[in-house]
Amino acid sequence: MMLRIGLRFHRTGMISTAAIGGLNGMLQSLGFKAIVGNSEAARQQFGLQMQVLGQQISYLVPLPVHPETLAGYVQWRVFGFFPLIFGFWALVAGSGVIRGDEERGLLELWLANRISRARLTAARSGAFVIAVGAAIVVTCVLTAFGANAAGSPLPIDGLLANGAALLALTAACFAIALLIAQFADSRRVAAGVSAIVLLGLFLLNSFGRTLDGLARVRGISPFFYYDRVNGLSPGGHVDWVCTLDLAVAALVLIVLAGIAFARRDLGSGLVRRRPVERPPVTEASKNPLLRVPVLSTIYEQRVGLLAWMLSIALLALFMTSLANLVNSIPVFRAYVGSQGDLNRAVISAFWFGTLPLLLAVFAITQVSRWTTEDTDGRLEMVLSQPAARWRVALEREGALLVATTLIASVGSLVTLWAAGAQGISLGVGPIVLATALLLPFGLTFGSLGAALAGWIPRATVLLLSGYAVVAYFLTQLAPLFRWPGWVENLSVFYLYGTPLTTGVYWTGFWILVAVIGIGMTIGLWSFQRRDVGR
Amino acid sequence: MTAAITTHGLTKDYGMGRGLFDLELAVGVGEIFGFLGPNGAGKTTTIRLLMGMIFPARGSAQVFGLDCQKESVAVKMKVGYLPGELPQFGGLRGGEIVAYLGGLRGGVDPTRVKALAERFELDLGRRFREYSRGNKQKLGLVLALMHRPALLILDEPTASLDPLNQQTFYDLLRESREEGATIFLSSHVLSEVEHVCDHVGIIRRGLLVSVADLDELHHLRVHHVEIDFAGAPPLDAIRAAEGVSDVRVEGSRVRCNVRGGFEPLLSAIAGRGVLNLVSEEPSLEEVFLSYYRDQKPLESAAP
Repeated sequence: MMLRIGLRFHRTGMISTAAIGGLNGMLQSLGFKAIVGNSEAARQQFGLQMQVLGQQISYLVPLPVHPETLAGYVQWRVFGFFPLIFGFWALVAGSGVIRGDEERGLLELWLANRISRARLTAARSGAFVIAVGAAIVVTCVLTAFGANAAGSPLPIDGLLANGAALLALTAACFAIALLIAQFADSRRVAAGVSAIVLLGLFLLNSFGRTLDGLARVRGISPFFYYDRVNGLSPGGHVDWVCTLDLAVAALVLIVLAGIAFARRDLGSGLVRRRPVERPPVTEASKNPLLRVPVLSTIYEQRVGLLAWMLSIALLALFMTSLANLVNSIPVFRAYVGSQGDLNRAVISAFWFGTLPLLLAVFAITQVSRWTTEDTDGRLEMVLSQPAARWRVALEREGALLVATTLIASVGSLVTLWAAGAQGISLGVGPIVLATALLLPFGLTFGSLGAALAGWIPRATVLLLSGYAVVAYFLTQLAPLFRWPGWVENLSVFYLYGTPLTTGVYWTGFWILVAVIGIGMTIGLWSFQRRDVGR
Repeated sequence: MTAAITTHGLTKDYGMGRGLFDLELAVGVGEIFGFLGPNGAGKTTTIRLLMGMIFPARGSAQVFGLDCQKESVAVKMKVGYLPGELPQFGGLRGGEIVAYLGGLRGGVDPTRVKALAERFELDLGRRFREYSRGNKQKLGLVLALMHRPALLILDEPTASLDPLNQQTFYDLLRESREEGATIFLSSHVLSEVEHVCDHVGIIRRGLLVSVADLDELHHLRVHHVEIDFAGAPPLDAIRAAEGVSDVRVEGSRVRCNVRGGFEPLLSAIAGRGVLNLVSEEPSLEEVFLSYYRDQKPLESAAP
């Protein structure tokens, strides 16, 4: 029974992940023949280009092996990205299972009905593993279908090995988040800490691929063991021991999480802070920020916002510091040499290619917050004060704009400083331009979110996330498939352009402004007219 | 009498017979009006229509002559509102929530907040997620009362409050009325409404069944009574007592229903060796089933 309930809770994650993974795998396979060319020379040229691209994004995915073959290409472009997608699902599920159940009042209900904590942990974890397994099967089947249709069938044993490694990796990420959640005070704290830990482990492995200093400690990252399985590339090796290690680690961590869960009080973490003795307070807070529109929202989110700013600063520092290292790779130097300033091109590709993706994630979390406020009654409480609906809607967008400005500015300031420390002159003007253009980029997600939330609040986050993923892949796929310009303009990432190297992409800018205008108009219109509350 | 609240044909149809249908209501300025009904009767729907949170399928609602949909901001200037269930404010402290919502409203007197918190013995320094249900309800009441509103709209205000705090709440209601405020509160507890209200509107399945003053309400009051006697029960005297009905006997134990006051029954059993007497109030739904099974809704109702 618990297993069935658990599977029901993972239904949305399972369908979304299977759809994203399966469609990505099938489209990449189907499109391979069109982009690789017909002659052997074209194929070799394509392989070389992909090796260069692989160097560029080696902080995200492993380096490609024989990308001139369909199997090698799928291994790199499809299975290389899956840890990001499945890892994100594992993060959300790991901090939501048990901790999220607790905050929704379900846990108390279940435990009051003769369901032991051990059984609950086992059932909820088992349900997640089954859901992931199902999503991976769908993904592999669709990928294999695409490859067959393209006339280059994939090796079944290789697909099996990749699927098993992905399942073990996702289970391990889930188990890490589940264990952390038993120590945290709330689901949000659990999700935040788990995100930092998993991102750290991911980056440790990613940068360990190219940096000798990190290579020695890569073994503590579960992503390292996933990298050891390359079931599709010609000559690729499969290390079943690594997959088994991951599975055992996941099992051990789930057992530890179960033990921690059995020993903690409901409503608090395993390690509880001693309450501070103080006289009761009977006055309203005197904090002036709480009384100022927009700033009150920023104040409430201050901890999360600081975490974002700190993470972005560290990431900016790290990526900018890679500029000289990347310049030392001849093949990459040859690739960006035609674009003029090499250092600028590196930082543009590395950092200003990643920052919009991160800001998209941030904007979607804000939209998610809006829809939650609607369903949990918070919006009703706000609207019970004499505040017009349009004002509340605009304040939300204002808070998003301020938060985006803070995060982007911190990232850019650190980039400017880190570049200067390496003797790289980026110029204040281009950095300010690249940062300023991130504001309409973030607002685009906000206005689309506002428009969608008025009609289909429950599906808003899913649709927005889906669009972000598709748009991001579109920027990767469109040049390879030589799709027309209007297709590229469907991607918000493409519309942002590459302002650090090529200046403002004005067509993109005006499209973004138009989307913001239309989205906010629809959002305001529907917000004024719709029923609010539970 | 000037009306604080008026509704005309107010309807919100959620389908399957759920919602609120053709509500005609008038609540006078300065009165305490109880809106009584079982769970799912339409009380919260009415309140949310008055607050402009949801929009009617047809009909209209006014607060002090202001349209609840078209002039909702002006309406909310005059209203203090307690929802049926407070939302999650997560990590914010009680005092921060008061400052935040007070900031949206403006003009909140800090001494009033302090006085309310002290009367409810509410620690505003604690985080919202650490509050018990009772403390969350107290915070909701502080938020509703902090700006001395001309109209209080309260959705089941005493839910989760202990008897002492319920008394504090009733005292505050009376004080607010003495200051000229109108109070509209919903409840599904008959005794609570009897305790504080001047007029009562009774709603069932989205239809207003009755609007009555407090004296008229007494005919609704029914108690299930169980009496154990030392010897043979005085059945004839019990059956003859005014307001007693449905008398059943099991040996020396008598079960019956008592409508209105207890005086006639107590007179009938005085000096007859009563070992034990238990009285319990039936649920509102039972009362309604007993009284309104075949009664049609009111076409129009006004106090």
